[in-house]
Amino acid sequence: MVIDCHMHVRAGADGALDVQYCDWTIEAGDLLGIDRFCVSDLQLTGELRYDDFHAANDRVAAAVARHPDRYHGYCFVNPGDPKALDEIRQRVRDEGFIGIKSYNQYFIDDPVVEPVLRLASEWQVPVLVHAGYLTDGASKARQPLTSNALHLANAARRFPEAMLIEGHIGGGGDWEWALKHLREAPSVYLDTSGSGIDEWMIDRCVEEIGAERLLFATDTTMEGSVGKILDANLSEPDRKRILGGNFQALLDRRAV
Amino acid sequence: MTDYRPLFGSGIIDCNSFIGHWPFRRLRRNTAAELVAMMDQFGIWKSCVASAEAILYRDSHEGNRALYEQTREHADRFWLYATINPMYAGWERDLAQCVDWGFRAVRLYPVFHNYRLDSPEADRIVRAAHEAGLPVAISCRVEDVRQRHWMDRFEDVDPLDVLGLAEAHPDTRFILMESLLGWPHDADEWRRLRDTQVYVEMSRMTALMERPLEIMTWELGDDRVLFGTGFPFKTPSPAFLELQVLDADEDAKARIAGENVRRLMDPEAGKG
Repeated sequence: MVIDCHMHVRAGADGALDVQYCDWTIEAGDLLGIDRFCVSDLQLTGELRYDDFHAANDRVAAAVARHPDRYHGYCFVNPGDPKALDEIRQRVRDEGFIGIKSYNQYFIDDPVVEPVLRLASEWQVPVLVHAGYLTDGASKARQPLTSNALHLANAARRFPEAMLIEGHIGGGGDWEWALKHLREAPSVYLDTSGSGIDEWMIDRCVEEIGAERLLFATDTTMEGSVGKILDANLSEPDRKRILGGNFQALLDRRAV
Repeated sequence: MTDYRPLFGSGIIDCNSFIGHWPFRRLRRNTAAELVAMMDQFGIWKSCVASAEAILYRDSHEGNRALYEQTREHADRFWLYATINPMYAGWERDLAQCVDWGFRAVRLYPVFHNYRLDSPEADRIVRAAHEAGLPVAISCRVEDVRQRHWMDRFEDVDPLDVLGLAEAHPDTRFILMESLLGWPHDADEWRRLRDTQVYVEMSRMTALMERPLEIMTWELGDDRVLFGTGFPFKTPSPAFLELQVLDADEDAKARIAGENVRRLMDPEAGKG
């Protein structure tokens, strides 16, 4: 079972789920051998309030309903919104979403996020964090509150039972810097997605943090994300763990 | 590793590879012998290879010289790029020496070498390459700027600037490398690109989701798209997968996989 633990759906021009994009994703999965996609809605910036993330999560629910055997949903919230926990309860507890998606409204170690992490720890559901150590000014200016590995390590120290996932090691940013911090944060997982397909990136991830903490993902980079796993010098058991076994083990810990 | 010859034929040519060191990140498998080993694993017949060091050496030609020396043992597997900095002393003689050594194309890095593509310096090197019978390759980037080193202040090259240069030199063959062309069907940029002699290396494009690689192949023609990996900066399999899942027939894929670049760089191609 190959599970993409970091993928997205998006809105069409009418604000509803873009079903063509959904179907393209399934087609890509069929061509590349990806069985399941864990998706959130692409909304990366701004002071998103309840109506915004609730609508985004409606689109995720619609995608799961359209392809129930291929899609799992993450619940995206702005942790600073007073109704964030209500939204998580509805989506994760009542509707079966598999985890929580954190974007860039707050650093993941900001005290504002603590109630979300507390709930995720209690329910044992993963928290996928949009992350990267961006080293160019323009990217940092666009996303000033993007968490990096140090923020994840800090949050993990406060919530050792939380299943935190650093998103897209290849999503831009200095991934070598990230690995230095993640090796000191043993409870944090790392997803392999992103348009960065540097030679030896996955091998270096395994060398620094071990195959058991790596989770396959695409974040829309389809051929690149599959190709870099194919090229990594992995044992077959480790390849299977990364491609789906590790993430399935996280899903199996669910306690809600 | 997969041998892709059963899918794309025995003439696979990687038009975008390097040997040598890069100052900001360790490159592994970056020698000529290691490149040949990678080529054998994937079934690549030839690689068009450039010196990674030449990009940032003050004297780029020392990179060319090292490239020539280090690839001689495997000369039948490589076609070499001459990295030329038209802002540096003596580049004309360096280019002539590369021609004597049998280099097959010129490679330019206008941002790293601090000149504009609409400058007199760009005009001069393009004319010189054309007179030498060599195509001109221009990379939009070497690494993703989002992971740049603190000493690295270089921006990406705008593909439209390359297009403008190609329009000013309609008889010169260009290779646009490491670009991400996301123009929609019927965009005017495709018409402009068709009217030039620009070939596009595909390693940053995807054939899936919105299918920009398919759109490019349709709009530009499958005779103008070139297979490249970016190795050893980038890992090779993604480029193979892009070509594998591209919605195109077997002949078109064979052209992209090697025939097009062979026509560009091999004077013997098409003879007899």
